[in-house]
Amino acid sequence: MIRKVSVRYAFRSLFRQPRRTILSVIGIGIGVAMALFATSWISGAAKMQIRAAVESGTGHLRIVPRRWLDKHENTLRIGDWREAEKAARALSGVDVVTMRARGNALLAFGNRTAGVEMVGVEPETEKQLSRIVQRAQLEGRYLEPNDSGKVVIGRVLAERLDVALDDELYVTLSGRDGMRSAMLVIAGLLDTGTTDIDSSFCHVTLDELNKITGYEGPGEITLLLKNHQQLQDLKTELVDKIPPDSAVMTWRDINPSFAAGIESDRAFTKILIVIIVIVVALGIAGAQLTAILERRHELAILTALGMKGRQLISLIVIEACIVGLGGAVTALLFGGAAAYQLATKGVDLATFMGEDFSFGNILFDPTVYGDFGPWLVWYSLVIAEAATIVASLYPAWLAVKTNPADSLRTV
Amino acid sequence: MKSKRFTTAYIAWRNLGRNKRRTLLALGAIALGQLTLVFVNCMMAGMYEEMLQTVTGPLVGHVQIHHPDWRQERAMDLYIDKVSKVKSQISKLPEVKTVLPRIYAPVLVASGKKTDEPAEAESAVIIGINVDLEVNENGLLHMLEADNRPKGQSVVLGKVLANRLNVDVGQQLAVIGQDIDGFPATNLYTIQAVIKSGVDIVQNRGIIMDINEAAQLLAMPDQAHEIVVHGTDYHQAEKLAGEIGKLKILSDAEVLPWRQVVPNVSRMIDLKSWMDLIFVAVVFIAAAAGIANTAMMSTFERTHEFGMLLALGTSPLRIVRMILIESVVLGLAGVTIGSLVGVAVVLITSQTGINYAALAGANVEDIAFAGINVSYVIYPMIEVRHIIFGVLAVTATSVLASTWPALLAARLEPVEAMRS
Amino acid sequence: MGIFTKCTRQKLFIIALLFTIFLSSAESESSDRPDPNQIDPNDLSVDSSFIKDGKLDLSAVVNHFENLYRADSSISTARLTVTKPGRTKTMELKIWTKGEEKALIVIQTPPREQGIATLMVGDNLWNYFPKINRTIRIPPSMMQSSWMGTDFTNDDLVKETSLDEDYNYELTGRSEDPNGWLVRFTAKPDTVGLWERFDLVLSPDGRLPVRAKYFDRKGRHARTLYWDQIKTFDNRRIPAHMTLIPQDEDKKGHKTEMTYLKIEFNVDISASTFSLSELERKR
Repeated sequence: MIRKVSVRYAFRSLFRQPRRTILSVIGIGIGVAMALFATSWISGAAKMQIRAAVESGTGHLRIVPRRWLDKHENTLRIGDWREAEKAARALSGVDVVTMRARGNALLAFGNRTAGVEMVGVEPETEKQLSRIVQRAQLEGRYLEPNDSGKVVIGRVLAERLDVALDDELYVTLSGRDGMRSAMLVIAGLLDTGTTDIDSSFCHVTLDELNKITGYEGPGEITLLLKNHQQLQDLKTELVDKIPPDSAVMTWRDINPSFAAGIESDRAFTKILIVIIVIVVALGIAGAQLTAILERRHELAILTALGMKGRQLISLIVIEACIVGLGGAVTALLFGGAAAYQLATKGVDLATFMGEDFSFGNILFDPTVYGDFGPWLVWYSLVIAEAATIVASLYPAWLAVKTNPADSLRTV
Repeated sequence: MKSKRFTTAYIAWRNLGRNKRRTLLALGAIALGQLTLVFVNCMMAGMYEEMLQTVTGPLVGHVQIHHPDWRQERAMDLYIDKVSKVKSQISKLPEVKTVLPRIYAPVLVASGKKTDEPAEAESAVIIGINVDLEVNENGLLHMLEADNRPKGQSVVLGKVLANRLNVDVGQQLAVIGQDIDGFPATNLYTIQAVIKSGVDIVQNRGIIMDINEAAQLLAMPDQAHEIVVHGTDYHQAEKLAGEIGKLKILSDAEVLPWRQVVPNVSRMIDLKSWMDLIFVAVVFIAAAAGIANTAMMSTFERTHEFGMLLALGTSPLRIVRMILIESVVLGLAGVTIGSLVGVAVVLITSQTGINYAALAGANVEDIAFAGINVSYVIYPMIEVRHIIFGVLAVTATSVLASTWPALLAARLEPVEAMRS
Repeated sequence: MGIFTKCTRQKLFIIALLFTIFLSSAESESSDRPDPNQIDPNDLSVDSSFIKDGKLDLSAVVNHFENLYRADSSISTARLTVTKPGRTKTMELKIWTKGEEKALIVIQTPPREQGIATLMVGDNLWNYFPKINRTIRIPPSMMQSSWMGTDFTNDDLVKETSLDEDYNYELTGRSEDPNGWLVRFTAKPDTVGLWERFDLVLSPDGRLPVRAKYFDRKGRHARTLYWDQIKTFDNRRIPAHMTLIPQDEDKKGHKTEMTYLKIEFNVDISASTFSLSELERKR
């Protein structure tokens, strides 16, 4: 009986003062929407960095020979690589699997030479995995699966050697037993616009590299996952399936300095999110307090008419719940829409920054895509409701405590 | 009798005093908004400065000097000559703090242990540095204890290089290279320490030794490949570079401010600044929403009061003016309080620092990011323009948010107004 | 990382130079040889040993050229000078060779480098440094680094080539300046190497090289090799002095020269000369 009265009264009082109600709801809505947007933005920015590293060829996970961890010797090959490859492809949640091998090579033409790390790749999967290959300008073409005697090098490297498309490079590599040489025709010149990458890029097919050096199989198997949240779980799963003389590295292991930078950013952004939630909550609280304080007159009358303290409090709290809910829904509409836009179109900071830029061997695409998902719903509900209800408690208590006569006396 | 203008103001003032809770609440909201803006902006500013400071630490410095072709070719004979003279001339410039010459030389190294089988050679790079200066916080050797510092015939190796050579601390290292004239330069050194470094070249190929020792080995007396200059203010790096570039002794050298030396890092920092700016904008909107909500709410609630005033013959315009004065006073008072508290918080945290990694429970490890140490502590910085921006923006928000409802209310018929 | 990118090495100079020192009797295969242009057999300037059936036997000429410095074994002393703008470096070397696989080079002067030795056995290369009394093995990955601070690489020392296998050659006519015969060597399609072709000028009697111009795979003139100072070493009349000049724009003023002071062919050299322990003993 008691509750029903409070609930009915709550609804009626809310609708009796539409302007006040709408103002509350919108105010809460905007505030929470901002919190949603900010969180989406921040998560998206963090993900952008990880994506940059992972998609620049590092991948999420990488199977390497165990001995590589100590010595970084790129003549090492994965023992029993067919089994490792099978394990990689059988893993769930994997987007792309690509195999590579590397070798230190000297490229020469005429009087000029350049030392590079030559990477033997599987052209199709490499293209799927690496944004460097996807996004770069290519004079000529990238490698194709059955290519023989072809190489793709970076534009700056070509300039150093003073060569152009279709020129034949004399290549020397450390092979299985001694030095091996070969001639490779330049099939493509890669231009990402960034010197780091363009001066060190040198790709041949994996078969070609092994043909020249006499080694067999890949030196690394790199995996790109569909969902990077599954990283740890999938790593554990993979570790069980691969042969014992191989190990699994994560992108953090491969690029520890970059990972540290991201970790640092993540810690910072957590603080930022806390700040914005506090700001929003306090804003809501302020508005709610004001609203209820202004109604002291009305509340005083109710008390004078006999409404009990408990009823009064529950009345206010219920009103707060409803308003909070309305605010959460509004927030979802506006904030959710904004987050959706952000998630699909993204904000292209390149207009402020200039082109893509690279850091180390990571190609950055300065477009931030927001985070979007069901978290938005409970996030906005929790913030809106919590803030609104907690904010109502003080004035509710105040209203109950006050002598109705005092409230009615003032305007 | 007081004039009309002052009467309005007087009434406005009395209004504020009469309804203490309402006033305090409004003040609170405004002050909080200003506080947040000031704090967040100062925190971002502190972080930005921290990044700049770290980048321009001993590794990159404010200004770098090289032989014009050295960065491209990395050949040993592309050196800067008369280094001591260059150093003294640069040091004479008022804004210069330290001048650090460095030598880089590609060499072959092998374990120096005398065995039956000859040792396998690996390629490496000698990095000759001023050890005393580079053991500072952001330097190449910052993690090294004092008794592990290279001096004389002892050197520090990068970890991966040490692994490949199968050598360890205390053992001997054979270094084979060529000096500046192309003559073989060979020596046996003792390994003082092996370090893990985030800087690729140090970790994979680095042999760090005292620059004087390197100069002696390589017959490069008074020469260097790189001179790193620190000024008093890294914001003035471009200007400093210009000043140094004017020196006649360096007329053929390449003198670059740090942004041109590490353009990628510079862009990274810019990227972060833009991202931070967007965040601050979002915070502002959230704070403004809260303030506006509070202000509007309270003004709407006073419709009854306005009705009474209208009924008593007050012109609508005067009511609006009254509200305007109230909100301006509130606004200014609020931003003042907010600014004072904000500045106080910033001052305190700028001394203690905010260890956000600890706060966020992150895994804090001593790693350098491209040679730049990752710092987990921010020191917020006071920047007056942020405070002023807040004052203007927040006050404006509060005023607008109060005035609009007042306009609405003032247009009503007194009877209607009183009825609500 | 960019630190090892050095744009220029005259690596293949060694192929023309040192292979003629270190490798002994090359197997002269009689594979398909292109017919030389007809020349007038009455042209008395050509050495008679190169005339076969009244026609010029170009393969004999090329063979002779290739084997100018080769022998089953040799001991020689030579001076190596590397000139760069503003700097000149000269070393005196003593060189032992045996067969195609073994060579020992010990630096005699300048005093700073005296006793530094390089031993080559097959594909392997070792260096000995008396100052620190250590021998190090140059692993295959280091083959591209410079030899003793010169423009030669370690790889150059061990590389073998055969002109017959890798090139098609033909007589293209007379040369006016320098005076002699012009033979063009064009790399065969599957030859692995830096040069598309090189043009060799032989002395009028066909016995001595005078000049060779090397053209890169795009047909650009990349470098020139000169031979002069004809002397008789151990009954062989050969050029004592070789000069290599790169043609690149940014290599103006660079020059590498090798001058033989003394050569003994087919002497007895004990196998123990080419051993590591010997390496350390040599001072």
